[in-house]
Amino acid sequence: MFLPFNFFIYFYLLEKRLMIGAKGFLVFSSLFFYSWWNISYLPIILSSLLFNYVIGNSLNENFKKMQVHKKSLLTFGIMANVALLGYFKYTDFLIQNVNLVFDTSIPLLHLALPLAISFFTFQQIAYLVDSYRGETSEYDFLNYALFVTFFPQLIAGPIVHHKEMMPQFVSKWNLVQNYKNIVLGIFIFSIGLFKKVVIADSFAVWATAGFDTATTLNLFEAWATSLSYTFQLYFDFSGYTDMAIGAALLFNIKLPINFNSPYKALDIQDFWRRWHITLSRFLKDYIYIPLGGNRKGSFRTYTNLLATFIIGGIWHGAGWTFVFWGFLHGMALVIHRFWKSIGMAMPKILAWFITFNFINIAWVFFRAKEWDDAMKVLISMFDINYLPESLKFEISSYRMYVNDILVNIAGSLQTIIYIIVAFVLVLFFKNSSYIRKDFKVTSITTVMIALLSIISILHLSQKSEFLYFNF
Amino acid sequence: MKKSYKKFILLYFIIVFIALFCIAGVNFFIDPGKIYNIKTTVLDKYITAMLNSSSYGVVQDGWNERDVKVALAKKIDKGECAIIGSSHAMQFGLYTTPALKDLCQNTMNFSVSGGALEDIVIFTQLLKDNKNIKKVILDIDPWTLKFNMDTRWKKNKMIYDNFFKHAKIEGDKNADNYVWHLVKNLINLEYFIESLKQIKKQRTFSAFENQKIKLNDQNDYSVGFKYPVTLSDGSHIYSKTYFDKQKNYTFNKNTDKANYKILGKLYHKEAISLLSEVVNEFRYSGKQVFFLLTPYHPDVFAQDSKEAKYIQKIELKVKELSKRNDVKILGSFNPNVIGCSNSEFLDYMHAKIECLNKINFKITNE
Repeated sequence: MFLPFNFFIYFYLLEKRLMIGAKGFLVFSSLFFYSWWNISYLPIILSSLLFNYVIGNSLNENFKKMQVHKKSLLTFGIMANVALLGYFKYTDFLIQNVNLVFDTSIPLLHLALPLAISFFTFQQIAYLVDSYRGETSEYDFLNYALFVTFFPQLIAGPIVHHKEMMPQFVSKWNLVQNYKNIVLGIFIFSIGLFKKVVIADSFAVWATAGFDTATTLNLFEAWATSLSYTFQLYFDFSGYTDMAIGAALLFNIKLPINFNSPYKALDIQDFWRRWHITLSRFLKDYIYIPLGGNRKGSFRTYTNLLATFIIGGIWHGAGWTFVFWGFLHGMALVIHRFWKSIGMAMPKILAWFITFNFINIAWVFFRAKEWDDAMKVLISMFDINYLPESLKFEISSYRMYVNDILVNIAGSLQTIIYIIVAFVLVLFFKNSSYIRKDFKVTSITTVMIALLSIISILHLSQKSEFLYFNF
Repeated sequence: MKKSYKKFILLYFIIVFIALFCIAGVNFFIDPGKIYNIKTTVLDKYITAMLNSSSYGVVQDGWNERDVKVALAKKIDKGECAIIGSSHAMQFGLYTTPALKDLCQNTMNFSVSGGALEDIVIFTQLLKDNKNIKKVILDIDPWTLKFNMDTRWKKNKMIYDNFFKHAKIEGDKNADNYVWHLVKNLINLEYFIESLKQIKKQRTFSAFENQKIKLNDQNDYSVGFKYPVTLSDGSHIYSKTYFDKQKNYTFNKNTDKANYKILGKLYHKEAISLLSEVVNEFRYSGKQVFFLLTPYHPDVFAQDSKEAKYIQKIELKVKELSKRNDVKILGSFNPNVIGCSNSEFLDYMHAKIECLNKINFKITNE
């Protein structure tokens, strides 16, 4: 109800020529949307917003009211943002490690992580750096607030750049209802919702059971667990991005694409050009290149790559498993770069196979809550001794029951069918941004999209808590 | 072009709204979980027939046992002892397990399949102020000391939440609004599928009338009747077919892992606090509380498996709890303590009446 309500009020205000009121309403409703989870986070985002706006404008060439050394001001701005993120996200992680190394017992703070803090902090750091470089214009506070809080992309990105958003907020062409954008918005949103609630949430059941609940896994369960998470993450995140793109289109705002069929990647560099594209762009522009990029020789290039991805790992979460995940990807990029530099090549199928499996294995560290959970899954994936008991038993009678071999993750034949279908979808189908380009309005597409939406809405609460099942 | 876009939007919303409206209508009126328009007349007739039928057993098949037991708890004006628990305790009653007479002159069994801690809380809320009930037997299973070990209790979530309101203690902080759950459930796929299945088999009271099972003095409850029945004291008798099927049950270590709801943490601290609160609530209204442990199959313990160790640890925890709360324990998970043999089990965790009847209900002052 939130989305249509905002849509109608926003365009109603615009129709009444209340441009500032309409934008103000969108900022207000975005903050309301943000506060819905926990209102105590509201002062944090508001302070961050105000702080970065003041610093950004002070850094801007066109706005010279403050006579402070620009580099010091930028350093202060970035440090303040990193400190805010660090305080909420990494304090307990730091305390845990201090306690471990120095055998102390400093109590943990158990701070609740403010929603989307990683996204809006990175977005605003980029803004500060660009202001320092003189790449920003003089923006008014309302447009800046909308750039940071715009609700379709506030919670989980894409991480937008002021250069791609600000012109859209001020363009007069975007102030009237655009039926083509509404249709495309509904279309993309419906695909995203379907990916999230029908596909990703189904995989989530098996992934959660495998990682969090099962104490032991056999070889099949371990592979089903890791693949379930690999697909859950993609369909969940890309589904969310599609919903964000679709919702933004209703307001005539075009968000950048964030996923471009990443599991079709033939090498790890290719993967990072397709996966969470706006984060990769941020890491490249604001970490890798400032560190020196590839301009200071091979060794520095490799260390820069490694450092960038370890930071990327930490950005995703406070834990050694995330650091290790970042390290693995950094190392893979280093190896890939070395491989390319010596002019080696390999068949495409083998390249895809290695890349996909590396990504799948690396996700195990990303998903596991503890190191032991990651090891539980990985050891079972590669140790032949973890063949299921029932399989060993049934091979002698030439029978095999799928339900038996996936029992610890509550899996069934459905799990295997879902995994096969997911492979087909990610490898042989066009992704939503390509489908959008080819989209034509016909009665059939309308019915198809409506059907997709109905199925998704019915899946929003998949299990009925009210049903009674026999013991 | 603009026209075709408008047509798309209009057609899209018409299809979506009509479809959802129809689905919500089907879910509301068919209502397989009986949450929107419980047909109380039929259920009341069922309960009245059940309570007044000392010579009949009422066929349980097709009735939601939680609906029945909740309605029973609201209506009941007899029964010195209330038994609350899971399927492990469903067979207890004076007809079936006369050993209970050492503790109670008459009993009323409120146990339900998949009974969890939350079910205990629900029946506590319903029974704590009942003046007739003097003693409460809480069946404790290996999963009772944890939250969310089953979902079936959620159809009575409103009663569960009321317990916390009345007891003035903090409940589930993340509990969602129940009414909002009901609204969302109108467009739930699983509920819709169940509604469609139910359309063909709408239950009426007359159908039940034709299925009453006449009891007589020669009835051997350990053999069962044509259908599973609930006796007038709320106790459950399995069908003859089921008894026959399980007659020669042997524990198969390859297939019977004895791990039903035995996984992860042994207990939740908050769940233990809640159980103590349940005991206190009954005590405030002058009721005596007992913990009941029902035995597992001897071979479960013979294996020295991780499940057996888990069960033993839970029993130790229950003993600790009983000391702390001054509650007496009846029975044990260990069949050797009770004296049950391999042939006295329906499966690895459900004892037959013969075995349950060996539990000592005599209370000494030790």
